[in-house]
Amino acid sequence: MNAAWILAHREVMRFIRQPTRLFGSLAQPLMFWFFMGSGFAGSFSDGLSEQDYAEFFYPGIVLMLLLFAAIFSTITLIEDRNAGFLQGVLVAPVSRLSVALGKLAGGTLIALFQSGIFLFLAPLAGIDIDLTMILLLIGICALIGMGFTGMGFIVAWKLDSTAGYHAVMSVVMLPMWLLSGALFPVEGAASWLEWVMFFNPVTYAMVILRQAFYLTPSQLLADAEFVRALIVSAGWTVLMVAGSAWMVARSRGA
Amino acid sequence: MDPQVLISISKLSHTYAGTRKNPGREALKGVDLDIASGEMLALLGPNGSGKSTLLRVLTTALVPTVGAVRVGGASLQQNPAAVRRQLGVVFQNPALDGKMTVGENLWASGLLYGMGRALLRDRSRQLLQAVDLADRVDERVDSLSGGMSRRVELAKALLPEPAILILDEPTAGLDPVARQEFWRLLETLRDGGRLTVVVSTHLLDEADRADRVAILHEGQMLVCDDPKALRRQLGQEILTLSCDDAEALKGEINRAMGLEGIVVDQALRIPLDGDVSLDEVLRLFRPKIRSLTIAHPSLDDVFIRHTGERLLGGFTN
Repeated sequence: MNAAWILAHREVMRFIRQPTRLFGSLAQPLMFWFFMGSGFAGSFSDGLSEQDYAEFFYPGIVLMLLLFAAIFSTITLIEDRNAGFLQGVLVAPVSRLSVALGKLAGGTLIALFQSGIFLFLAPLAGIDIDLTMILLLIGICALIGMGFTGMGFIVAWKLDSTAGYHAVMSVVMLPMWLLSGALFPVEGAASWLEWVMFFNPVTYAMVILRQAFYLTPSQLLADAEFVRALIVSAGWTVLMVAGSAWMVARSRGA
Repeated sequence: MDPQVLISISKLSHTYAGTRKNPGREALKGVDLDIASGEMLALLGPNGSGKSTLLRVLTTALVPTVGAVRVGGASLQQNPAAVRRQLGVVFQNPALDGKMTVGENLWASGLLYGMGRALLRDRSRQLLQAVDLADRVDERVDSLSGGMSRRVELAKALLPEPAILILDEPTAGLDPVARQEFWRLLETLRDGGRLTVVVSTHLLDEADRADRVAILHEGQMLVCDDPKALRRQLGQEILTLSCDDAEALKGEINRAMGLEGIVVDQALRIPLDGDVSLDEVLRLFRPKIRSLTIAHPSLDDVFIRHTGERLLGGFTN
């Protein structure tokens, strides 16, 4: 477990030393929020009479930031493999589980740090925040972040080119995010879309994240939709972490 | 088993799985090799001879298809974790994090090997001094020269005081000065023979520095012995004659003087023993000889003797 912590620490340290990564990951969602929020506000205003679109869209943007930061943090796995760092770790007396957990924890922390910054913009969207809510949101973001870092890890473990990874993940991630209820609500979408959204793990991440901006912890636990989404999200995270560990464990001899 | 044997390799074969278009490739074919505690063993062979595959197996990075390997009593297949604890590894490709400093790389690696902080601090300082990099501890690895980062790798591998140091062509890509320097350090850090070293190389002068040389060719181990003994077996000296038709000359010399030669790269190589008269060779064949060299046998000659090819491939084949 100690080894996992060392690897996670290194991951964060590398992130801090490459400020362009931070800039890029924050600038993109900000622009999305600003341009898309302003652009769509007019067309959606009938359906969302009480909520102004910028506010509806805000949790979606936080989720986008979280997803992309989590997924793309695992690009460093490919870099580590190509640069040779990974082989050194794999011949060290470190459990295979620690190798996976270290990378996942590091990726999650990086994603959490970026979305954490964004959480403080909530008042701009007209959402009031307090300490309980921030702590709750950080917990939820950690759960979601870990799950999608794991998904990135599983794909990255098999690839040897960062460009290829970028291409694959952009094609996979953008639709997953678009069809999660981040941009428009699940209710009222065409029924085939509703089905796609039902099987999209990001949909459930979107539910727990959005609810957490509005309800207190006790209200959340009483909310059946939230609890169901929480169980799906936790299951997804467990599955992805286990999958990552499995990839590392079976890799000898490749 | 001999108690001195630290690494025992028996009947080791490995075939890389093929794909639909490429058939599998048999990289190792039944290698048997015992490595004694404290010795320096060099694996010598051209590219594709199986050196790297053998070392990948030893580092636990690759599970061989056939054969048994035991390291310090632990089975490599059944208990890779116990093997890893005994190893320090320097790979052919760099294994350092370029974005971290020299000190941070050592620090992270030491912690991964479960070293205590106080010991890690002392050992880092000591090793960086030994490899002449004490003043570079706060520089990022990215900013170091090739030779320097190789020395950091060496320090990193030796940090947890491994019983065995494995180096896969550690000096590949270095200029001759940096190579000499690396080997000088390696010999100093062998610690009076307490450390067992397994190093692969395709360079004769590097292999000559080892206690024993195992020559690999197309996945098979041809011979393994003290480099001096290997060279002695070839006689006192090697006479190399270049001429227009080496095959014809080989036959003529054999008929006239009973000498057995080998033609390699259009030159005739003849091992000389004390009683062969060079004057006689010159008297009989002077007009056909374009140039003539006499030298002590090198490991290249040993390789030729066993394979009929030059290790450092000539310009023509």
